[in-house]
Amino acid sequence: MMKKLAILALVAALLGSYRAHGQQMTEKYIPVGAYPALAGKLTILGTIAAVDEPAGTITLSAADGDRIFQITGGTRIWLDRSLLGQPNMDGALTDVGAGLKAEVSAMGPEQAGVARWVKVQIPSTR
Amino acid sequence: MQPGLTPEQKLILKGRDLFFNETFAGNGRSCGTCHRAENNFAIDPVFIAGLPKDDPLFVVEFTPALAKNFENPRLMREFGLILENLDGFGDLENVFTQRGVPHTLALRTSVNSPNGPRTGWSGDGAPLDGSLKAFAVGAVIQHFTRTLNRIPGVDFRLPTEEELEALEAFQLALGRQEDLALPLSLKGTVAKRGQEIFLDNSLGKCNVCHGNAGANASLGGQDANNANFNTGVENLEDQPIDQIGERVPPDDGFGVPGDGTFNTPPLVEAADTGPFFHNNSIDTIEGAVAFYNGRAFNNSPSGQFLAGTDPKGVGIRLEATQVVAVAAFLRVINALENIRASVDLIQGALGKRFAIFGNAGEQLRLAAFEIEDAIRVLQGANLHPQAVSHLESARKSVTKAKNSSFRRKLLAMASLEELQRARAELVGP
Repeated sequence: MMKKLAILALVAALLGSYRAHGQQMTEKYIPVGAYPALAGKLTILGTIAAVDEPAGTITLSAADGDRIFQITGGTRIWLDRSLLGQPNMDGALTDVGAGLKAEVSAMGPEQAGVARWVKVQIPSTR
Repeated sequence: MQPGLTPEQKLILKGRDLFFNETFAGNGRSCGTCHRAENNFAIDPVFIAGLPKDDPLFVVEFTPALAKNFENPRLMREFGLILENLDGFGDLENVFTQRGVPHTLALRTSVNSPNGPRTGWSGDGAPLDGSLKAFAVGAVIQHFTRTLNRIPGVDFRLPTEEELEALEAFQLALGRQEDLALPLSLKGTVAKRGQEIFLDNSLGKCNVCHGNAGANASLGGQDANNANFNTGVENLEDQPIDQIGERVPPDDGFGVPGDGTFNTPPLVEAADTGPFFHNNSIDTIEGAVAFYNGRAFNNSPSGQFLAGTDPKGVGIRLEATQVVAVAAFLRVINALENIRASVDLIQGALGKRFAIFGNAGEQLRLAAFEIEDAIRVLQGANLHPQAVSHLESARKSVTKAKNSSFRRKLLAMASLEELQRARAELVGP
């Protein structure tokens, strides 16, 4: 009995370590909204409607309405500068302004309101 | 264009053209630069040594913008290793890994897992949804760029979704489309014993993670499909890469930061696609099997898991004869797969089935490489000399067929007959 439990625990440990995500660090280099069909289920595309820096939240105006996302210490913010012909770069919440086109990847279903990363498109006229 | 193609076949052919020819406005590399059709869709040091200096694989050697932190030419040429920035491009000087090029055969059997698709050595090779379809997006950003700025539209163009769909269709069409159903009625004494050891969950235990010599695991009664494991390869002592004084950070596998796990590759295609493991640390199939006898594996989480299921608390412990027998089994099933693939290629050349590589000459050229691989893996362990004799005849015929206009069909048919004879030497009905 104990041996079976040990096996099950090991199996659970092995399987439980799996996280279903792609090569996240490469996401930074993909322009906002470049792959709607592939990213559609994983990210939300829209326009930044509001930024509340003290509360650490952003409001994204998406096709299905406004969505509020919590920005935590672990949230990556990327500036998509491909329209400027410049490298995309890391940013901060202060770089996220209302009116910018943006793409947000939320944490898993249990933390759907927490942003894993936020990518904002810097317009060519800025 | 072949007549009567289905929409799926047309998509595969489009994907093939993209795979081998499309550089995505980058540094000159295509997918086929590293995944060579004539080398089982991979590269290794011997193959690399035969390439011309201006091959796009060596772009770092003639492109000043990529001279630093893009590839390490010495590690590429000596060990067949490619530089990857799996934990991001933020610190190119210090954060990178060096990995071998995995083949892209039998992907239809191996990219699925219960928790999402698995691609590349650590299973997280693709951005976006992590799928095989998305893989090319990450590959272009990593390997095709003109400069280390990696600006879409400047240093490369990203594939369109339609192109990704075609590339996926082509890759899924390569190699085996289904897993074997072991045991096979093998005729060779040593290979037959190797198969028994392979399938014995109290001795070889290979089948636990490599079900039917594929890439799918069955753990504690649960179907884990194509899973990730930490098998301790990173802790292997005296790895060649550690001996030459080049700084290579440890590879932490899946995720950021990594959890130390790597994705299970299929074994049917192993014997002719070495070197082995994510860092090309072992050159021979016998050495790769022997790895599981050592401390690195048996002290790893996976080794400990197996020990936990063993009445005597043993992970894997094989005698030298048993190591050689398992390797002989892997050599024989690899040769059988070479024969299957070459028959498909020749039949495609004869118009009897879909020709994935297009014209008859190319189909026959690649069939010759498959036959050559079968000869090599069998001769490498002095296995089945009679089968080797038939294979050599098949290779001669198919090579003549490729170069002949008038006798092509006759020679190709002769090659098919020799391949069937070779197969009959290896396995019963």
